[in-house]
Amino acid sequence: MIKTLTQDHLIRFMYGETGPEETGLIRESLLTDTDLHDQFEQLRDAARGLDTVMASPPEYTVKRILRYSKSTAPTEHMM
Amino acid sequence: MPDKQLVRLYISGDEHALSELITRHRDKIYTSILFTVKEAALAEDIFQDTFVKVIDTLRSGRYREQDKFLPWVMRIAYNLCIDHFRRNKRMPIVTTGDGYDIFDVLGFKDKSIEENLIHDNTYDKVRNLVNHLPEEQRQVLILRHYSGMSFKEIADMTGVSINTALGRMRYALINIRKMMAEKNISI
Repeated sequence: MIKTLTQDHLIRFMYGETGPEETGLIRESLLTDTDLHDQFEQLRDAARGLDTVMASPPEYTVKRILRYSKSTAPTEHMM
Repeated sequence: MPDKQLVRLYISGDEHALSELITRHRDKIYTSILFTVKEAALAEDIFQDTFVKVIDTLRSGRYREQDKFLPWVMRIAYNLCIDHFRRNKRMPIVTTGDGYDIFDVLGFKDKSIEENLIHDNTYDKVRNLVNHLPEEQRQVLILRHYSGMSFKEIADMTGVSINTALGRMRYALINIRKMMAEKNISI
């Protein structure tokens, strides 16, 4: 039984690492506890910011990997 | 289709399954490597070497199915980054020097020039914030947010407790939020 919800609970909740019971409790608390809700919004803001910096490898790097895979495939597996 | 099934298909000879696995996870893996080594050409090499190891291990039958695919690949990538720093007798230093323009070479597809400029601006600012975090916080943030590893997996991989990993993530997010407010960065 969780007595006090902390930011660590919120972080695990934000990243989908809480179990069903804990998730339900946090969801309910976020609706009624404005301080907790504000803390959660601040953490979520930071996470949203991080989402803006996702990068992709160049296509030629991916093609090289796929070429390596094909060139080293066992003969009986060649398609 | 779940990763596990794609892995099985690839082991049985379906090359398209590998292509699907790479497409599905490449951004997370590459971004994590890039943030760790802070150099685009090196990140590309490590990304490629990571998948060469993945391919060789899958083909050799040494892959354990109980391992989740992405965290397993991320562990390989992380170890290759560490190997690189050991070989060069240096560890990534976050707070010194800001001369890296590693993201400049990255393009933004399917966006107008105006959208690119706005995105580019926010992108640069947030990237700088991440690079200014203390190394321990930056490491956990990269592994959790970009690599998609659980706190348990991060704790196991980096040799700290789950609470320590969580605490570092908490400080990382708080610091990012604080710096965003100080620099007036809105998302």
